[in-house]
Amino acid sequence: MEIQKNDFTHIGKDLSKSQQIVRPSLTYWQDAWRRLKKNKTAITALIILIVLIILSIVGPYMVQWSYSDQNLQLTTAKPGVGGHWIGTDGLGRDMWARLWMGARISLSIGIIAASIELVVGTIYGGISGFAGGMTDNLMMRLVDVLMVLPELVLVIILSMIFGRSFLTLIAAISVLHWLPMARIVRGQVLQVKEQEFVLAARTLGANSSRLIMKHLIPNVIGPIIVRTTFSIPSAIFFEAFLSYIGLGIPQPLASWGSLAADGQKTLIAHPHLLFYPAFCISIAMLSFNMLGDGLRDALDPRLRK
Amino acid sequence: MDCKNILLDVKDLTVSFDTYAGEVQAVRGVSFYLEKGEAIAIVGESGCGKSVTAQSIMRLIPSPPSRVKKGSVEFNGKDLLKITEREMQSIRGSEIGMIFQDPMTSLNPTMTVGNQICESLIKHRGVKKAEAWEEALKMLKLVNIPNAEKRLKQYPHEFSGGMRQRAMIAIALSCNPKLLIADEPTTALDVTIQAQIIELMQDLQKELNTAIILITHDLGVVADMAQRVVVMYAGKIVEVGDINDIFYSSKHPYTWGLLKSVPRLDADQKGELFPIDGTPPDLFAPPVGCGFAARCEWCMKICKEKQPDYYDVKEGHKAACWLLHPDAPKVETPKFDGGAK
Amino acid sequence: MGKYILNRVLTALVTVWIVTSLAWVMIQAIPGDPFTNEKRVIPEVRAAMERYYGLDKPLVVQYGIYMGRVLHGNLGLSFVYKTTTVNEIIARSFPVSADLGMRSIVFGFSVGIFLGILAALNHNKFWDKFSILVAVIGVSIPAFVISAVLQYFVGVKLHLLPVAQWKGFEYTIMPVFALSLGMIAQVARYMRSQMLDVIGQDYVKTAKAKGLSQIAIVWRHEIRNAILPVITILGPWIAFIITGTFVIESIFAIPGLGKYYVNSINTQDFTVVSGLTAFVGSMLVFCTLVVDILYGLIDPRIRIDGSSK
Repeated sequence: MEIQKNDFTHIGKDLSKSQQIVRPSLTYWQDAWRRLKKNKTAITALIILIVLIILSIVGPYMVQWSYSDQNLQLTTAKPGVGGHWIGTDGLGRDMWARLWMGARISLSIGIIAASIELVVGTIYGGISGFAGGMTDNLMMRLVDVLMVLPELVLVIILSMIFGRSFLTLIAAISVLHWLPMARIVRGQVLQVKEQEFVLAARTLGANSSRLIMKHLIPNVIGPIIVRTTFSIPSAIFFEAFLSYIGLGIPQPLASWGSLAADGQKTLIAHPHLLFYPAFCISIAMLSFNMLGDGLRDALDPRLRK
Repeated sequence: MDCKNILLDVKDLTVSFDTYAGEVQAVRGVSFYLEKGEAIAIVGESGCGKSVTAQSIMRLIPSPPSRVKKGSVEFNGKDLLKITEREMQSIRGSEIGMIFQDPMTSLNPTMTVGNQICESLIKHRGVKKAEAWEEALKMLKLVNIPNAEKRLKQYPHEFSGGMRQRAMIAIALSCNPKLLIADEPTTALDVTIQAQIIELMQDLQKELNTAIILITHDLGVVADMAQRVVVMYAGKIVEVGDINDIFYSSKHPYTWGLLKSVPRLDADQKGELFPIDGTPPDLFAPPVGCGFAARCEWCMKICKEKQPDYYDVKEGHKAACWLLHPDAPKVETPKFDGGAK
Repeated sequence: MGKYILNRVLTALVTVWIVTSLAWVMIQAIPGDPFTNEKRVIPEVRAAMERYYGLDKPLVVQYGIYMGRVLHGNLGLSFVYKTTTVNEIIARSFPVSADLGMRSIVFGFSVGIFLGILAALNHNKFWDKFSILVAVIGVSIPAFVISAVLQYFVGVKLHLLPVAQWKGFEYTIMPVFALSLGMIAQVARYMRSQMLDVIGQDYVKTAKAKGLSQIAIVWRHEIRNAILPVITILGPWIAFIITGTFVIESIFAIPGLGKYYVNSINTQDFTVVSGLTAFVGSMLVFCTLVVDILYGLIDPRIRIDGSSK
């Protein structure tokens, strides 16, 4: 290209481009939701869980028998026999009804235990972190001591002492389960407290409750959600484990764990009795884990793009 | 420019990064040379491509995502970009040494400092552990670390920041390389420690006759150490010259901006600071014309349309600016008093 | 360093005390007295047993007697098998469980570390994707499900490996695999993320700038730094595996401590349950302690100035 004299006319600075905002700004939640939506595995997991929950509510009504109706003429029937979609167990009870009854028990144990953990852990950790100083020290000392106790052993002891029932199961599982949550919450609260924007908000005259609502909670909630998503499968696993050692939910109630434990005994002859509950446990735990992973990635502020 | 004396000759180095947002053209055709025993400084803002240039010389950047599109790096007759990784490994540490910005994270926390120095010696000189340890001791003394015997057996977290940087220098110089590349060696240190490190580097340079490439954005450090200065902006070199040329008779508006923005201790209390307005261009889509055009007070029509050529100001001093074209209006090099009375 | 060890040991002792006390509480809390199930007990025998267990004395004294016995290593008599002591049960079955446990831990940890390293070095390529698959399966599918699957397909359908008991090397393969899969998954996952972290660190760049070979860098600089935090999860995993043996032993009919434990729960043999609980609980605490101390020895940052992360 030829260079001409008028090419040297003066133009001066042009700063318009540099002031442009490059992308529309999203709030933390909008960004997190967007990221989660993109994660196909997490969304699939969410869908699976929703299906499981729906089936647990509706499932037992889909067949004519209840979960405890026995039929001693038709024990350990294979799937399809006598109208039983997935067969019957050793006492002739319909497996489909029992499976979804078990779903109710397993899922609710998981969710309730996780909720207890959520509430207790958050309050404990929140108070400890917010209070700081001596109170914080003492509270965390207690947590440290309790954390060394072997959880499973304690659960066994408690189950033995208080007998086997839905409530004692939940209590036994929750008794130590809330400790990690308390730690996480306290850590987050401490972190947020140190941040300068808390100081800035205070300087602008924000009082304590406003501080908590608008600043503390949004920042702390991310790890809480993630941890809760992971503690549900952990509780389900515990319950299943207890079933396998004979401390699970008593008959005729069933949980996936107890169904699996029962089915285990006749694995070779009647594999279908183990297969369905085991499959459900695995899928549920897998989905919760995938969802938890996805949530963790979505809620991590450092991964904002 | 004495051809026999050239240690490093970089020609038209062009490096891009392939990210999933697109190609980032980090270095866009950089050429400079370095003579044996000479110290030069590469200055520029964050993101101008100086670190990428330095690390590309050593081939330290992993190759996806980085990609050398063009250019050559001649070192002692070999093109470093073309040799095998194995050959490169024998050059790194023994003929070219490098120190990095953050001494806190640049040392392996699980190895003693002594062992980290010995590693290069054992690899490149083929000596046994005992001899290497002796050599390492000498190196620690050379960089003025007191109590060297004890220090050799210690771990990096037991050293202070300044000492760690000295240890880094000891490691880099342990095999007496011909070239030392120092990537922002003082940026992470306190001002007083900075001065010590710079002095140390000057002494070592004289003693060992090592050539040094000093990468920095701090012009104060440049004045102390370098004989020649290379100014980079937006992935390109905009001006090259010796220390006096750059400080007293520079010709590129960006260089002027840099010099003007250095605050002076003897300045009028009420004087303003003079930052350079605006931000560097986006290297995903670098501008067609001069990279500095949008921020340049003297910007002309042609600056936005075409990249300027390099114009020689005098022997060894050149700048890439349309102002140096015979047809352009004459602009005098401003005085830089930083608001002094 | 000494302070670190002392701290850990004291905490461990306190925990063991708590566990054994709770085990005692467990017996006391069972409704009825130990003889509710015994319909025909001669009064003299009954009186003798009552005296032996100190059931005629106040609770506090009973506790004292119990703790005294425990400290002497006497964990009591089985209620169901009147002639067997808990100690005998332990002596008979613990070695088997320890064998199973150790194999699983060693296998689990080493395979996990190896897989994690492989995954990190081949980021986004085959081994990485494979390790993620393993991690996902191992973390989600409980060991008993895996055991069942293995038993059914490998044992019964394919007749490749024996399905029960503990009589030789082939017998160990499936149980160890089932038990360690969870550990492999988590260790691999953690090691992989640690390695990826470390690979991006400045000191790796320094190592490269020194001209070291890739192997030297991976071995001395990357693995060494990445593995340290992973060792911290060894403690909890040992606990997990120990408790995992309860279920695995039941499924595979392995005559280990776990099987007797589950058995005694099912037969309501409270003293055995209590004794074994105390034993297992203490074992867990002890193992965690050992791992903690080992970690302290390996991490130079703790070793030298006693600081922990």
